[in-house]
Amino acid sequence: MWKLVKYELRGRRLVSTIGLISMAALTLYLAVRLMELPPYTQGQPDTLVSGAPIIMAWCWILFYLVVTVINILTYTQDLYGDTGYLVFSLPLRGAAILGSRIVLLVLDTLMTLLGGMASVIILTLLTPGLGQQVAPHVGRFLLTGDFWVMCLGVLTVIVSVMLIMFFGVTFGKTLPSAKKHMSSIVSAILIIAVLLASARAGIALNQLFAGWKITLEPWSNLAVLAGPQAEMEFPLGFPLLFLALGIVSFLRTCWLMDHRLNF
Amino acid sequence: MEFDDKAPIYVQIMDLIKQRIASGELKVGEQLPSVRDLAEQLVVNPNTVQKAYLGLEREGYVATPRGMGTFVTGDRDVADRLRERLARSAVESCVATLRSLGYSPDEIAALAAEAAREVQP
Amino acid sequence: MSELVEVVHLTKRYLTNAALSDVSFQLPEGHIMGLLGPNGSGKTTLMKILGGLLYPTSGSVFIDGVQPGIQTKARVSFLPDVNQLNRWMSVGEAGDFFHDFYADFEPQRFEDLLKVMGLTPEQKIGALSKGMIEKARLSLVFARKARLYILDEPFGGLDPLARRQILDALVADFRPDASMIVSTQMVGEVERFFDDVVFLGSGSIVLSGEAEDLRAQRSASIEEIYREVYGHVETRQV
Repeated sequence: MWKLVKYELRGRRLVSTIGLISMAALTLYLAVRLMELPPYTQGQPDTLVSGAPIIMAWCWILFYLVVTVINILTYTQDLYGDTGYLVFSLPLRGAAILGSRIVLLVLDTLMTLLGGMASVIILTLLTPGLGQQVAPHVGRFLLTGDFWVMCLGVLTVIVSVMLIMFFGVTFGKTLPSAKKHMSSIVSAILIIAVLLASARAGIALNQLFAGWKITLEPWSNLAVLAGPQAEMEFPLGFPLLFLALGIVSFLRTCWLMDHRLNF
Repeated sequence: MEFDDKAPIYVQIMDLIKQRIASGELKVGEQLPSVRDLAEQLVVNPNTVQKAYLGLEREGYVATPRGMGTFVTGDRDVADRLRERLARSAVESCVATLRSLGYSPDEIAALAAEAAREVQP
Repeated sequence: MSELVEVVHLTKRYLTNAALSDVSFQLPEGHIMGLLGPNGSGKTTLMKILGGLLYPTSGSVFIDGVQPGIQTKARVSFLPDVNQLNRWMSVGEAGDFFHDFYADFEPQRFEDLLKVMGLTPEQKIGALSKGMIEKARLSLVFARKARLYILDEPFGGLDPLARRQILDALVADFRPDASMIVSTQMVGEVERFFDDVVFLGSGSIVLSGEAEDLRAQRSASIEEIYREVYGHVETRQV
């Protein structure tokens, strides 16, 4: 599986390089603009001042979306296109093939998280006024256990949603129909249906097991930003449901790849 | 090497080797090329060469002592008789063609003598 | 005793048609089989099932006594009729890829084949002409010391000289412990290499047997028999 990851990374090197350089360039640009600003004086609204870290955060989210879409697109291309002859002729189990995709997803998420945090923190520190307020707390913030727990929870849900999508795409390719479009349509409908149903079920679960929740204070060390609402309640029903769905999707997708593939 | 694909190729390979034996190109006791070498030379499936060698062995022209290569067997007599047989069949088919064109036996003999003298050694 | 390849009552059905119907045959080791038939007769479907890319509707397939799966994929070298390589890879990287995943890949043999084909490891797949990509893919397939080689239209994009090179490599490489299944439209050029022939028509076997037997029985070349069986010979437009 790791060998496959290696080659996937090699195949993405152009896109990855462009992506990371763009993000670095943007960070640099915004940083330079911030540094050119005069020191903060009260009541001086400036869109760039308040906006730079947020612009950066949104750009990183966009970056993550692009990279993740490429991930599932490549998988779909392999399933439906000529490169599948290469991948599915390898003496590998479905678990290794799908596993390599998940590894890439996790790597991408970590890269986005760390890169995002780095650039947002840098820009925040450079923002006149805001920077001085935040600077003393940054170190402690990075060590906030609750923050990382929240990130882990979010990562779990993201991976699970992606696994449901991989399942949908793979399922389409196991149908006894030789027509490509049929499979794509079935895949799309399946994915949407499962996600909607899961969301509904998750909300219902949360209501049913109202007591199941975890209280985190991820922003406790940045109280200056979060204001009064430092404590956040995270119901566990929803994430646990998605975790279970993710695992089931993974196992089912692997089985489909090993036993029912209609390449 | 050109083969007539309408007939089994291994038979044609057998004929080729018989010809070489008859003409003396392959001497008694001489070793035939290995199956693979001949297959590469003729650009055919080695199994076909193998079949040809087995056929020749069945007909008594070659033998494959265990573990060694394939050798031309028999004495010079066998080779001579083969040569004679091949010659006769060549002549018979030529005569049949000329007869069908209307040539008489004497005319055929004259034609043959002329053609034989003209052939460069 | 079992043969290298055993196909038993193999059927592959889709919603709207049956790609293969009750196909059965055996292939001993050391044999080259010609899989012949017009487009749509089921050749590629059969090869994909042998390659483990497609699962049967009913019937069984055994390669070395094992049904298609990870074990067989490690022993079967499959050449599809389209380019399966990523265009960003170089020829050398493709070799590394095969080396990484296939234990029977022989890098030295790969290098030798590349030289014969006139290719270098640095060339990028995306930059090669159709014929050269074909040669690169063939080199990858034959650099593996596999038990079964499955070649789907291996001569498609090649000029006569290249075809000759491939055929020479085929003979030179011939191993009595491996077998080959080749599908091709260029029956005339390749028929001398077939030990066995299977003619497919609309998913069923129309005629099969040993090539030499068929020649003797019908006093015809395999190409002529093809014409008899299907009424015409398709020539591939390159």
